[in-house]
Amino acid sequence: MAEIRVNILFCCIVVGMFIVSRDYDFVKGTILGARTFPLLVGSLLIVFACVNIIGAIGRLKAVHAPVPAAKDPQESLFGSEMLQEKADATQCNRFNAFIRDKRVVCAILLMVVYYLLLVFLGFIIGTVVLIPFMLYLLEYRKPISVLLITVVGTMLLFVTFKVLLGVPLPTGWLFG
Amino acid sequence: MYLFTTMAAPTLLGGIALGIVIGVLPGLTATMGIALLIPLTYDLSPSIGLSLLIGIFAGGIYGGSVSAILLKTPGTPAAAATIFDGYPLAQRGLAGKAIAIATIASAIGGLIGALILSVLAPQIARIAVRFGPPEYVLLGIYGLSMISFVSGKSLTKGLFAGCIGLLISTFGIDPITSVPRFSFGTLNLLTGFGLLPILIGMFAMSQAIAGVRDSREKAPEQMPLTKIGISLKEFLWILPHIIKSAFIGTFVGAVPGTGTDIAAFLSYGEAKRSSKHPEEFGNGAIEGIAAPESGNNACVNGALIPMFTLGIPGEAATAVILGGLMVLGLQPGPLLFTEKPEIIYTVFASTITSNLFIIILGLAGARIFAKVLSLPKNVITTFIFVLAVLGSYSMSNNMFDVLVMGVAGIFGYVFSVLDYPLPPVLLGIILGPLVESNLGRTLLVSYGDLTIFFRRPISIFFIVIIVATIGSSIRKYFRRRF
Repeated sequence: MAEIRVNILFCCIVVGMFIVSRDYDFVKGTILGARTFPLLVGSLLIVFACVNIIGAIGRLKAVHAPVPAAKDPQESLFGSEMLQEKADATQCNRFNAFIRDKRVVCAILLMVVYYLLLVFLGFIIGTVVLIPFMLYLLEYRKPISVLLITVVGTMLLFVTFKVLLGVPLPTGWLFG
Repeated sequence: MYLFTTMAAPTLLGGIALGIVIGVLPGLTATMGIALLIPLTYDLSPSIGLSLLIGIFAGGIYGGSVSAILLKTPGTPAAAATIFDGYPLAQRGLAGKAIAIATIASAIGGLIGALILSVLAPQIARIAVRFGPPEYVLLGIYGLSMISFVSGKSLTKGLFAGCIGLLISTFGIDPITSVPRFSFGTLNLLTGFGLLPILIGMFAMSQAIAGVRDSREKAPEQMPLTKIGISLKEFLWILPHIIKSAFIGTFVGAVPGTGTDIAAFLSYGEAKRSSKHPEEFGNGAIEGIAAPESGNNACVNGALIPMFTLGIPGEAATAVILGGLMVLGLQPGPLLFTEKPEIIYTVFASTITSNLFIIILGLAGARIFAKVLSLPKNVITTFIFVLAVLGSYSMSNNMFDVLVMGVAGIFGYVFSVLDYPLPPVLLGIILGPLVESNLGRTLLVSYGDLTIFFRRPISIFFIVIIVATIGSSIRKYFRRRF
């Protein structure tokens, strides 16, 4: 299903590009113009997308009764621990279980927050906030080590890029 | 001489060391390392910056063998074939011997590849200087036809991905009419999408997101590193395989769209086929380590041939290096040989010298590089996110590039999950402008007459190889299906 959605999404993007490119004229007397190449490539993309969608539908239909996925022993072990934990459920455990299950989405959301922090508050504050939260998400939760890694890592990056290489770092609207 | 009278040699050494560290760590690839470390070259001269990138590339491809041998996990895809005999040899308590074989084979294979590059590249460039717009159109189409080789099992997925790359390349100013395309009145989109943020997003950020997904996987058991070295008899035994694999690797690398992993597997396959004891392969045969390592390092230099002479990337890492060259203000192609020969000769010297440095660093530093494997993976993943952001920001000091990088990263991750290949997207982005601008020029010059392609000998040559390439892939595709 995800494959079908991705192909449809790109087809919609291409249709949008066709609509936007209506205003681009051809060179007089030729088929050359700003919209020639996008039209050609966009049309090919739609053809290939249709083939992919048909293939994906065919694969979906070919799957018979859904077979329950074999559980990874570690997950099952962890699952059984979870059942015990549920009995004394705490907010913290529920939160940890949630971010474990949705860790990819959480990582992406964290990067969005990091982007906003860089825009408004700059590199140092943004990175000092990101590193401990990302390490927590990745289940690296030794407080002293996290503190050391955050401070030393941010300093190292700052010194390497800004001081040694002269590469500018985001300063943020607040401090810019 | 330029290499040894400036900072180029120490920079090359530093690049190789960085590359080896990146290659050793599973989940980090040479391509990602180059993409992340391109910002280090901004303040360097083009020659020195190029030496750094070549060092990272060569070191990264070699470094993957360390984790392949000790951890049964290739540090880079190029080292996948090394696992077959490297890990079993390590399990027999001979990890040091395996590392020594991998190091020596990589160095000799890379050296042979570098010598072929030095001899062939100027000759190809002499022919390429005579290319006109029709030849560049067909060259671009030939490069795009390689999508069929990098598509993996599904040709239509690869072609779909290639079309996405071509469409991305249409953002910005139209090369023929100079009309702003799809800019929506914003300055950021007027020049199109930056190549570097897309590269960093697709190859570094997407890998980091995959690292988050796989963060709970248990790491395999690491073999202990024993005494590093091989006997003269063993060296002479593997030498013919090293030399043969070097030629295979160089010529595989010279074909646009292939990669070091293909070179490694082909070399391994040929070594097994021609061995007097093929039954030993898979159980710690020393030729089974030497052949793929020689092939993949030779491929590094082979891949530089089409990049420097024609401006077409030989594989993903050279595509990233090509982006890095543009950032350094260099335009790869045959004119580089005439306009900036000092750059070309520094490249030749760097590729040859890098192999000497690989032997020194690989043998002397193997224990240090093996320790890198014990770094916590989650800490490394966290810093990849930060480096990806820094790398994409630092090119133009523009947060829009960071946004592009992020979107490309999510897109690259989704594509990898759905088993859609990423190299065709890259080929489309890089070759799209080449094909479009030269097609426009060709049609203007010939007043729309397409027979111009059939009136020029080099064009006819390209048409023949394009038809042969596409025909061969279609035949393979239908043979697999039916």
